[in-house]
Amino acid sequence: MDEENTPVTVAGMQFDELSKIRVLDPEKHEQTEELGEECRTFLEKINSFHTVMGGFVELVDRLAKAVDDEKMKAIGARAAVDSLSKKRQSEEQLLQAMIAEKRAELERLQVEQDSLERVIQDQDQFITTHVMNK
Amino acid sequence: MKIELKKSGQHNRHKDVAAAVVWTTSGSLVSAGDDHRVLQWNETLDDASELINLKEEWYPTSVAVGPNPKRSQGDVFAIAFDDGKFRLMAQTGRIEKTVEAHTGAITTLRWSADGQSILTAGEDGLMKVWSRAGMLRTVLAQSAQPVYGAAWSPCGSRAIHTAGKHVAVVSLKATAKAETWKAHDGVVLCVDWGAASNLIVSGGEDGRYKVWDAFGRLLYASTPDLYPITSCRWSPTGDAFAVGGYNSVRLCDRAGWSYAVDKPATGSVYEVQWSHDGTRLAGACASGDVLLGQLVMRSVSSPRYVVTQTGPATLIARSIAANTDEELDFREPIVKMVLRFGHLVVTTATQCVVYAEDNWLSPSTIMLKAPAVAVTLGRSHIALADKTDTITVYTYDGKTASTIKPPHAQSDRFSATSIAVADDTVAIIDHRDAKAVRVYDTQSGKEMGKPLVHSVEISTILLDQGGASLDRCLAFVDKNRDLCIVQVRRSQRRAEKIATMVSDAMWHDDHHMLATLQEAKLQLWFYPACAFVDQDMLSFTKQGVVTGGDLGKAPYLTSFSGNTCSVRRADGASMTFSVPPQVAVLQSHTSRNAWEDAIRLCRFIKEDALWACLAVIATKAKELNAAEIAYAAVNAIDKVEFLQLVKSIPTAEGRKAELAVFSGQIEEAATTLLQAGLIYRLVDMYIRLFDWDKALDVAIKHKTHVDTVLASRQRYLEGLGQRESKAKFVQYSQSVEVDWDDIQLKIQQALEAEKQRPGATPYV
Repeated sequence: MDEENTPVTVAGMQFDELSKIRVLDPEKHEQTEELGEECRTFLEKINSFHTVMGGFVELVDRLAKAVDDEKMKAIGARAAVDSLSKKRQSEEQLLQAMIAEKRAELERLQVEQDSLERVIQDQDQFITTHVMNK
Repeated sequence: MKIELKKSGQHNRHKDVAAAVVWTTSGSLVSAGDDHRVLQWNETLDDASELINLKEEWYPTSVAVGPNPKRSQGDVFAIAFDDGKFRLMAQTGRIEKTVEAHTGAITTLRWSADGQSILTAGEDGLMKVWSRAGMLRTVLAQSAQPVYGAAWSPCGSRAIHTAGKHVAVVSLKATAKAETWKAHDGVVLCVDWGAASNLIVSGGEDGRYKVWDAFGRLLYASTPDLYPITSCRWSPTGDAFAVGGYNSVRLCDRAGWSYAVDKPATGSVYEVQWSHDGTRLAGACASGDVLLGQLVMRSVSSPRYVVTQTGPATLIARSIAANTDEELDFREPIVKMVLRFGHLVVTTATQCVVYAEDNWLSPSTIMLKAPAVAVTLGRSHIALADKTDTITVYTYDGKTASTIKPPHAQSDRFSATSIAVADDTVAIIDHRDAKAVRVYDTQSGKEMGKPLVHSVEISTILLDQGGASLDRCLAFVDKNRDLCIVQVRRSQRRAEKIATMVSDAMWHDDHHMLATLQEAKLQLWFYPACAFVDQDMLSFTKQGVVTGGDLGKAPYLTSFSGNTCSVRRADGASMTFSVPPQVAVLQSHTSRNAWEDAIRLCRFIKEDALWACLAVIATKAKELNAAEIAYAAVNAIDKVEFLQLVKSIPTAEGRKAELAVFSGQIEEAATTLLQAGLIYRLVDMYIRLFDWDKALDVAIKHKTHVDTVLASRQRYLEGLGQRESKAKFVQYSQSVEVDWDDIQLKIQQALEAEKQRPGATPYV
């Protein structure tokens, strides 16, 4: 039987190789099928893109937060360093004051020692002049 | 000496600036702050209870505590506010009275020492005095600038206030003129006048604090701090003061140099206040913190021991030679400690503990009725002045010798320099009239004679420790810094000024020797009593000590014992100088009447000062041979001849009288001669002294030698080429025949009669 001239063909319908009735011509059908397939793949890809993007955004957000945190930390540290130098300054002042105090004390003790040494000298001299020469 | 500071905790402190602190009569600490609260703190400062809650719009600036007329009701607080009002409030917070005192804030409010008046100063430049009930008495001062600080003088008759860069002292007597001087390069922020020290301390925006005497003479200026000085206060003991500034509390000696500085991180310290016994210090800080400091590391020393306070109630006595420590513990915080004459005397609130220097294990303990305010030591006695205005004298073994209650005494004005004690005598500067010194007997506690009155105010008194009781010498320094000595146990008290410009003086612990600081030089007086015997020898018996450099503006003596003398220089350095030991040896010889030994010693040492001492001591003891040798050694030929003359007098009374005239004691000489009935000598003495009236009186009274007086007077007038002007002489010269030969004969007879007297013994 001539495939071309079957009544199905005439009605625009055809049979495929498996002898199933087809409304569209197999070529178009195939193309449609392909299109459908492609669309699905496309959808899948889009979906996967979305998830990837979502993950990416999340990552970036996390990163941004981390950066912010670090930034804050850095600012804090800088402030701490600044204040530390101020603190050191005041500590230095305090120590300087203490040193001045101690130095004054040392001078006082030095003077005291000198005077006591002079007393020893005086007494030795007294002994030599008045006792030894007897 | 330093202060162990403690800060109030974060949660207890004032929530805003703490403006004022004050000690109540019972000794607890109270603070007021801009958080409208008045807090009462516990002993350890870790808990506070709210005493008074002030209204929201009230910002306290100053708080003072005054006595309550009804004693049972606790203290009365006078709280000054920034709106110019001050309120008298009971401890319960009840407002007794609100007084509109100033325009603008009140900066300072001070209660007077006697509790009768209140002093306020304000931003309007006024300083006012109020009765304790809040009635205005006077407006004391008006200045163009705000007054930031004000204080009463020790006696309460004057007040000091700040005005810009100046400070001014004004008297409550309207007639007296105010004394003003420029005190600082910046605005003066605080000022205080020490009751015991009578010195002024001021602090200003230039970061300096300065010490002045009561006349405004600068004694000390500190190096400038980076920040203004915001508060200063004298310790009630008068030997130290505290200074508060930004993040700092400083403890200074009365001479100005600093013992220690503490840096609490509390912002500016707006007020510092000492506790009544002077052992603790409180501070009010900008951070709202309240500070409490305990005085520790106080130290006293003798040639053999150094005693240091290591805690509130612990001492360590370190032997200098052996380098061993002895720890001494007390039941209560230590208030005062004094080490002298081989004894350590420590007082607490209820006890006085006395240690002998070598026996730290068994002290004698005296229970006190009231807290001691001043402790003065003598060689064998302790004089303790206490809060009840009484002075009790104890021996070193803890027995009460006597109790003295001087009239007008005011306990907060007792200090170690206003009381002096010796074996037999106690002297006290009168509190109402500082020109007078009251003298008491140590054993009986009875006042001896009338108070000794000087021409100006006396600032320091000292009694010598060695020597005989009758020769007990009181040395005093007056407000003009003149040093006088007086023999207080004699009926005739003759004060002799021996030195000027004296900043401090001290007697030797054992001998009649005096050390003085004159114009920053140390001077030793080997026998100051020669002012009563032979003034000419005074310059021989003193000796300047080579100090090797300046002693600074206000040095003071810390010890004078054995062979050394110690001086605390103005910068706080303690310097020790040697004292020639021979003087002490000489004095111990002469006190035993070992004149031969004394002469041998002088011959061996060959020093004019020593010979001069011997000359004076021997003259005083009427030991004429020794005196003659000694005067000869210092080339005082006139004195030698005089002594030979004295030796030729046949009677002991005659010699005694002649020596009394020599040392200027005319009345004593006259009494001696009168008692002995040596009328011719008495007449002759007055004639030689050109005291014609007295000579004639005596002659007339005893009906003898009237012609001698008249003849001598005639010869005297002829010599001067003058005519008789005395009516009495004119009258008698008409009635009495004068024959010179006759007189000569009578004199010979009188002298012969003296030789023949039963008691006449020629001098050997």
